Amino acid sequence: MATYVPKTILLPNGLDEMGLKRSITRLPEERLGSFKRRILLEHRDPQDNSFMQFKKSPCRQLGELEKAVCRVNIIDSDITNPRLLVTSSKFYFWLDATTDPDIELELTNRDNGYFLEDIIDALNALTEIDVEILDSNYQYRKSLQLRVDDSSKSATDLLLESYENRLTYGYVSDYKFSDPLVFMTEKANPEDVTVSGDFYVDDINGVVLSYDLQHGYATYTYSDFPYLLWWQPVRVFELNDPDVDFLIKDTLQADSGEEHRLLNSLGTRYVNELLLQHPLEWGD
Amino acid sequence: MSFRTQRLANRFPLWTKLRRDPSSFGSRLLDTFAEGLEEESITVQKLVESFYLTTRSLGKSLLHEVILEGEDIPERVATANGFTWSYPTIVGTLGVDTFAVTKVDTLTDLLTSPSTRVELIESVTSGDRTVWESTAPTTISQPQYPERLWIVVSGSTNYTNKTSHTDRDKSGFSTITIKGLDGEYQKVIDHVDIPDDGIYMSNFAFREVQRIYTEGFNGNCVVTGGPQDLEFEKDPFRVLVFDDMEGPLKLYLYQGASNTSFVTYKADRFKLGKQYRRPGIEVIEDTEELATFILCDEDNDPVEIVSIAVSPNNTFLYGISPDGLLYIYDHTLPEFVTPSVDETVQTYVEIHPVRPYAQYPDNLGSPVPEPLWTRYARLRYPINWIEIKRIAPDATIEYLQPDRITWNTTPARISYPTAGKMKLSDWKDFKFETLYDQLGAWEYICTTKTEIDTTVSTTTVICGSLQAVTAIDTGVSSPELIYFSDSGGLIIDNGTTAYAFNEHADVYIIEEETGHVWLSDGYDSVEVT
Repeated sequence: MATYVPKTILLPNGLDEMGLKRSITRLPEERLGSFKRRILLEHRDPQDNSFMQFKKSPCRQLGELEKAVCRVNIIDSDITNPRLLVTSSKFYFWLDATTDPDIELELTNRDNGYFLEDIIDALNALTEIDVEILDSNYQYRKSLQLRVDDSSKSATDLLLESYENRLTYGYVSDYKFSDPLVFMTEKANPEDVTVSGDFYVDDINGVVLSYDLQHGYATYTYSDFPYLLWWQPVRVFELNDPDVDFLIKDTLQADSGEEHRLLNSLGTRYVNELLLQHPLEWGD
Repeated sequence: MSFRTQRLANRFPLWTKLRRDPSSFGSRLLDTFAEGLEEESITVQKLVESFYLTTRSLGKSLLHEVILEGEDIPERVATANGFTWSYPTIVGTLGVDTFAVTKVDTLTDLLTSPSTRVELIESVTSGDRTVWESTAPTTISQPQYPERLWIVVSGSTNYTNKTSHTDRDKSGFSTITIKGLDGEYQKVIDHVDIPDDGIYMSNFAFREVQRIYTEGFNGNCVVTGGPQDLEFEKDPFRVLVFDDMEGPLKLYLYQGASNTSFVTYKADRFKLGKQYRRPGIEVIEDTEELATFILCDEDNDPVEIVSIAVSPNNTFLYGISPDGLLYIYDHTLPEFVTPSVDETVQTYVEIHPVRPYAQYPDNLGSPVPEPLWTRYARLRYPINWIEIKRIAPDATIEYLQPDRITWNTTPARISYPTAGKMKLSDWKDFKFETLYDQLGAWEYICTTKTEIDTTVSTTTVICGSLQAVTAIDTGVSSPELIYFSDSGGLIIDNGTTAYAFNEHADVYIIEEETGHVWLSDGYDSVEVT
């Protein structure tokens, strides 16, 4: 009589073949259902050389998929230019992106926005928005793992030959049209579109009305609402992020007050890694 | 007996006993090859589907290996006919639980053995799964959890056809389009072709449905998150073959009295013709029934089953009882036995049952006997008398009496008053009946006496049951529905909560010479004695 510890053997599977085509390999002891989810995600939202995909792809490569925390819906019809921004160490929310932020939380500050619960509470305090919770375990998660993202994005749409076009996205701003003759004078109301060159844009729904027949392209900035807030097991951020100092530097008492100036242990590690990969210094 | 046996038999003329009687020697011989053919076709089908991301049978991802040492390695034991092996007893330990691991003979058995236990991994709120109905097109309810949507289309009288002069303004496509978010919140648009009324699945697992619209047909459409509790379960791996047609196997579950349940094997007989699903043309539902079997437990005692599903992983039929017991069936057609009497080379009168698989009385009202007919198949000589003997599964021998209705243990002959002087055409085939109140093979032996010789023909009718391979307590109270998820996971739903289970099979194979053991399931350690 003897006792043995079994050794695991990976069996080849059809999913392995599909994973290889998408540069995704099965992890040791990974369940096939989880592997299939990763392949499906890679199939529908494939990696590319954009920064967005650079932020998304490490999670799926490592087998730890991102979790949708909540969905922020704008319920006040007077809000036309909202914005939500997650940087390396801060969370911002604007009801009107042209003004100061309505919410500004530090993700590294235990008294401020350290936990996701703090962020959800701050969002819930705004009556103009509705927060739909998608992750029932959000109370147990740190907010420093939120995906770095900005709801403000740009897009270009082909305008169909029509007097009315609906753009792909809503909450549009800063729109530019390739035909300056059709889109000459913007009006505040659709009923004011009365002569050639007049046009009106419904900012919330992204509907473009014009007096003349539209054609060409529309390039615009939009705010991606309803907005999905993602929590990442593996987080990617830029080292030149505007708020990265809150993460990688300790404070020093400067003439202007307390400032984040002294590299902390995390920042030192990042800089050393950077120098290891790219050892050029100023003047070299 | 394989479903495919009849397909091979259909290569023979319709009049041959091989083709029309599955109890015949010829049919049983063909079954040897058909069983292998059916296994191979199932394997091929699963293999082909395994290269599609929508496959529900993900297969097995891991095996677990142990190399035995010393006296644990099997030893040869000499026998009168050569030698055999003394196999070890293996017990797997997982945490504080121990599981006896059973030896199987082949790699196929190792990979597709029926489960011996299940493990609850998740439970989610279920409730009403209806997402959308064409009768209320503006109302959309969200799926309870990400799952491929089931689309049931029924009652259509017209499918638009661009080549028809009445439909030229249409695209000619019949589709349902679903917009929404998949399980990972990716925006997806799913176009599902609807070539005819039936049941379809969306290509994506939807977490959120935003819009649904249909085109090209006028029937009712119901979309649900996950399966609908339909009156039948379609077996995706097997084909039901009759002596003149074949079609996808549909399993109908119905409840008998006294807590019994039955499964009926049916297939649709489709009509040909270009006027199908056109205005003014009534579609005739035509379903052929091959057999009805009572569902039993491992001891072949009847059990009540509330829902059935065919596993995409091992192709077994799963049934769940009201008390949460999971019964697993290796569902196929029953084997016919060798008749107790040899047929003579020449046979004249034969016995033809209405169907070779009789139904055990379900006691819903009066038990209904099933008819059989005599058939003077080969007109050779005038008949003096015939004797019809019946051997029940409990070996009771009875004879059909001259009244052609009653059965008695007293031998009896059915003769003609003008025996010896009659013409061939004087013989009139007749109907008689049997109440199949015992499970098993019912044998009929027909002895025919003519002026020249005495011949014997035999046939067998099986009153069948599906005997469970195993029964597992799931702990789910009052289950209503059993199904498999889009990744082949076992789900049991009791109307309010859907329980997801992992299946485990405690089996192993062993390479006797080297002592290599491969286990289907993983354990912290295994103890070998």
